[in-house]
Amino acid sequence: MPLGIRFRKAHLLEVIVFAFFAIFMLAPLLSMLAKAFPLNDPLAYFRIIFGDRLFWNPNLNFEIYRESVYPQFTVHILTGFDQGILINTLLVALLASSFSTLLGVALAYIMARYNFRLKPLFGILLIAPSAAPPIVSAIGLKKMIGISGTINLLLWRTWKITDGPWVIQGLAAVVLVEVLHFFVIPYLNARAAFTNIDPSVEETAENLGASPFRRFFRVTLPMALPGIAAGFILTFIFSLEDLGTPIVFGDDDQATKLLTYRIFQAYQSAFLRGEMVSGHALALSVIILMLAIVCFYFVRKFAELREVAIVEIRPRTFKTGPIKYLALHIFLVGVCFFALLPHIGVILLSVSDHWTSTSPFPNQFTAQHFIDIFDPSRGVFKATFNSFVYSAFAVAIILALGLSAAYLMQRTRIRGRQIIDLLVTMPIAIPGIVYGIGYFVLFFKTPISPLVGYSFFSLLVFPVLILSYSVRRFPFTVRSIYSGLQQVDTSLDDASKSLGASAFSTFRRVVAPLVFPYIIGGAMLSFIYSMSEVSTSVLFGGLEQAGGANFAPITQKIAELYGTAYAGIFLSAALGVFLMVLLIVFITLANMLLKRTAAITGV
Amino acid sequence: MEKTHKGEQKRIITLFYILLVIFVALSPIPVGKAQVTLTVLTRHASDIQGIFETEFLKTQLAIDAGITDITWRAPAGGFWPDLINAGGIDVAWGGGPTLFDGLADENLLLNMSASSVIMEEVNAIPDTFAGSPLKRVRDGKLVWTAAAVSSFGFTVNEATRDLFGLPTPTKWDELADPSYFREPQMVGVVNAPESTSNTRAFEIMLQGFGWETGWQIVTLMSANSRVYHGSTESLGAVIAGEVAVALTIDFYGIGAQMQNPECVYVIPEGQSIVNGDPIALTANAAHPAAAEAFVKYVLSKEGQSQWMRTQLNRLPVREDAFDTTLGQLRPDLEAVYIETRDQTGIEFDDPLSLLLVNSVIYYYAAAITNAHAELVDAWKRVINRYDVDSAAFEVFSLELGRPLITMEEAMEINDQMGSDPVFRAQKQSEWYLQAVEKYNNVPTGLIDSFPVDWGGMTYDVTTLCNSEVTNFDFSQSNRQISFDVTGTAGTTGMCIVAIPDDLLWGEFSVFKDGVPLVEDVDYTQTYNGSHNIFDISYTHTTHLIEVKGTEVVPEFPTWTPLMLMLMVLTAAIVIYKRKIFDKTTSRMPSSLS
Repeated sequence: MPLGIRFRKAHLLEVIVFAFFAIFMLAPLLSMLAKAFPLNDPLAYFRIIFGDRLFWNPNLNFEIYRESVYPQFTVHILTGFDQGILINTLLVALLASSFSTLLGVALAYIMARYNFRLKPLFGILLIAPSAAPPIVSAIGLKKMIGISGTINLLLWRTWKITDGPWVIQGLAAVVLVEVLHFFVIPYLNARAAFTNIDPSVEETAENLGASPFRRFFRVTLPMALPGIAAGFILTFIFSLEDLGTPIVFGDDDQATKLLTYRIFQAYQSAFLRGEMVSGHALALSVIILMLAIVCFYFVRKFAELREVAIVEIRPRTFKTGPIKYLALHIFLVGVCFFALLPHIGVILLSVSDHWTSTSPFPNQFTAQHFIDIFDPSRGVFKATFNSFVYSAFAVAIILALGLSAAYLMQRTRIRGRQIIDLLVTMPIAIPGIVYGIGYFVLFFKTPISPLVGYSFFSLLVFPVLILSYSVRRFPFTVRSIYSGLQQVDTSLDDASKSLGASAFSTFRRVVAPLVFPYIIGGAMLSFIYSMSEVSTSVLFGGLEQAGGANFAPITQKIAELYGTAYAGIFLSAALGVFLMVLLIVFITLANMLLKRTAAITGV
Repeated sequence: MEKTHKGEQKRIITLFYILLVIFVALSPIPVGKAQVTLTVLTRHASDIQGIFETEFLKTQLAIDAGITDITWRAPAGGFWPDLINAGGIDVAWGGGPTLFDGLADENLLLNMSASSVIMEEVNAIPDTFAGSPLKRVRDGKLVWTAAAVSSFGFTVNEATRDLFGLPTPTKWDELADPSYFREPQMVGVVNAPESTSNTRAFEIMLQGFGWETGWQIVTLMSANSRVYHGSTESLGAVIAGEVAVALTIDFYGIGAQMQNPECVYVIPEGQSIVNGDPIALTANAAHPAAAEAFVKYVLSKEGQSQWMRTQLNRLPVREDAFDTTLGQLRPDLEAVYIETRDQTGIEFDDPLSLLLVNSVIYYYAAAITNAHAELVDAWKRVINRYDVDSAAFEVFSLELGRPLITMEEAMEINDQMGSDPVFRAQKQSEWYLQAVEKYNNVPTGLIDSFPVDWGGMTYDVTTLCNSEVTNFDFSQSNRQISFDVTGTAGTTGMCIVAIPDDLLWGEFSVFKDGVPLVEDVDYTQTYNGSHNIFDISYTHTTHLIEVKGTEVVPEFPTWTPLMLMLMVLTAAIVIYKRKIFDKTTSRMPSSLS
């Protein structure tokens, strides 16, 4: 029996949501699938792939450390091991998501359960890693941890603590960067989950004599598990689809032995030649898509098993003793330092006039790059404006459809809601590169192709990127609202209705206010991730590059500046800093308006 | 509770409006409708676009032609023909001679010599620069003129170079030397399909040293290197000191110097590669007169001086651009210009390059980039185990670099590699597998060393084969070494044999089962200063291989006859003396004995 709004209205909502996803998500994917399985020999490409040692190469070499001895010093090399592209991809995703989740949960527990003076500051610092697109953070990180990077120069040559530089490369580097970049997702999820646990449950456990340790593992953690599991899945899939990190560490061939990288390479080569993406690459796209969807499906099932009813929301916090206080600060400062290393690197790069490889810090500082990037001929303002507009439109679409979808999924028993559920959460499992290729295949050499007509594509970029952002970032909001709804017990709906309220007014006056933080949190995540979206931005925005078309978003601009000959690194860093500041200002403003630091509640 | 939420909602909405107002206010106000908006198709980056647009629009030329704005379109080269055919493109600028020659082939470029306005400037541009053509004439029509020149060389980070004790390269092939091997690698190259400039460097080596040796150099150079996936990445690495040497274009190198003064740009001695980057008038233009004005400006002394801005650091096509105000500020650039001009470039065979380029880049990606870890490991094993001057080292480095396809095969499949993605994927997969197997088998695989003891000396004959080597024999009288090779019937057999030049030398001939083999067809012969090395291939069954020389180590060393004579003489004297002694004693009176 449907619990919520009337049957017909629910169906109308369902049709709208369904149509949106069918047209803007399924059509590109289906056109890609059609090409990946040629009619005359459907499995031709898959046979090549699975017969390839490059793809599947399980072996017993698990060496991750080696030394290279020079007369004056020793280079310590941390690397990964190559098991073939498929295993590498899965292993990297698993390691990155596990470490991110461990780190995220620990941080979330501290932030949700302890009160200390610098908490608001750490609250901002901890979410800062999400406020930079991967391209820039990886450049910054390389400058920090590279063989001639700041940390090595300080530890080895200035302070003489180590006997030589430490180098991290290959898949190990990919995992490290992804953990530093993605831990914020499980952190936000877990923090929202901890905050929303009914304090009386924990108090009861305490009264019954449970030790703090036992209370955490037997009561707190299980209750927070749906949120944590959601964070884990998201991180897993983010890692699976991460393209920026393998590109930056691609100078070690190991880091290029990842699915997304191979697909990107094929796309790039097709693009430069003006030909259709090779069937081989489309088949790889199908594989990564299937992997992501299968993983997503299984873990989500697991996450859904644990629903926790919440009666009252009043977060429970503890005071800290002096030792705990110190330990806690050391831990937080340490995490923030490592998580913000890429940002520190980017900021230093953005203000350096020149920077020799023997100096841990820039030899001379300048603000010139910030003036240079805003030279009207570079079109940075326009790109920023574009990104903002695209993201804002995308969030508007997401909110309108996301509320409906989440409501349908959580509060009704309408037929087909499982399909809706699958559709609206699937974009998160669709790597950006796959989505981009889908669009490319769908439009390739058709009358509305961006590539044939003269100025048609200039008109097309605008809606394509908005739709791409809204589809790709949809799940953030919808999962957020969904988990919000999950935390609000349906007995509240029943109570409201038994008092005579209609389904709509129940939603508006009872449910919506309770899930309001989740709505805003989800919308903000969608916005932030839209602003910093790389895959489709670079693919589509890059079609017309800078200057004339004026439709490029900011992330594309960063990639483009990086490629300019003089001071390219400094300029792209400056623009990266600008984007970071923009996002942080936005988050802080929203926090102030909401008068709470926990405004971002995660997915 | 609801009140606060309502308050929050209001605040959110207020925030939204505030931000909307800010961004609408910040958004550029559309400029009044242009009289003529010129459309330029380009591969040049936005910094070049920005500078030339700003400077050109200020000129009288632009004002007279009524040009008030320029639209830049910068899609990948593959889309250019479609865009020009669709109409509305006025000028094509930057992207390299190959792209423009392709456009000329499709009749998409206009004859520039028909425009007297442009020709005034074109005549001031030399026809060639450091051996490279700056103008392309097809059927008497000038289809493009270079608007900038660039060379290709090394950017060296001197601090990192010194730290890791590397030499400074002066020639391309030096980078293949084991003295450049470091862990982690300290040289940066770019995967061939992802960099036309690095591809050109590889092609130079293939053309200059021949297919086999060329690949050996390219492979070992790459074994000494980290393989980047874009020219900017490799440039970034040398600036940051991640590598000590990177293969870069001149303006990247000069830019690197400014970002990190420890970097210098080096032009390879006598091996420079110079390119003219074209500009052309396109067919189906909307504003032909305006297009001419723009091209004239770019080729003018004033236009050419724009390259010398510190944001660009490019070399102009006309030397008199250094006389301008901007040019006077860049003596450093003028020095590079003169050095580039006076370098002997390598004569590059463009048509040959086109016949091979697809095979070359995809072979590189499969056998070198994808198998890089295995290649580096193998190279490291060889360097660690053998003395650089030893025959084994020579044999193994030859084997590591030996290409898996012949030049003829590469030519044959070149077109299909370019046009058929399925075929390409299959081939690349095959090459990758073969390369990995080869690298993994070096040097542990099928190396054999056969000591030949002759005249009290031991000579090591080393073989590296994918066949089993048995019945090794050295015959001094026949001046030959011989052995049997056996392998799975039907597969291709390969055997490299290194013979010390003090064991067997002179003119060599090689026989398989008694039949003479043809040099450079059935086998190749090289000499490394101490060994003659034969690389023999055949189809497997069991074969008798004989290598015959014209000179051989003599039966006895030259000093033996002397020694023998001396010994004989000594013996003779001793015997003679003894006989005399015997005689005298026998004549003595018995009472005395």
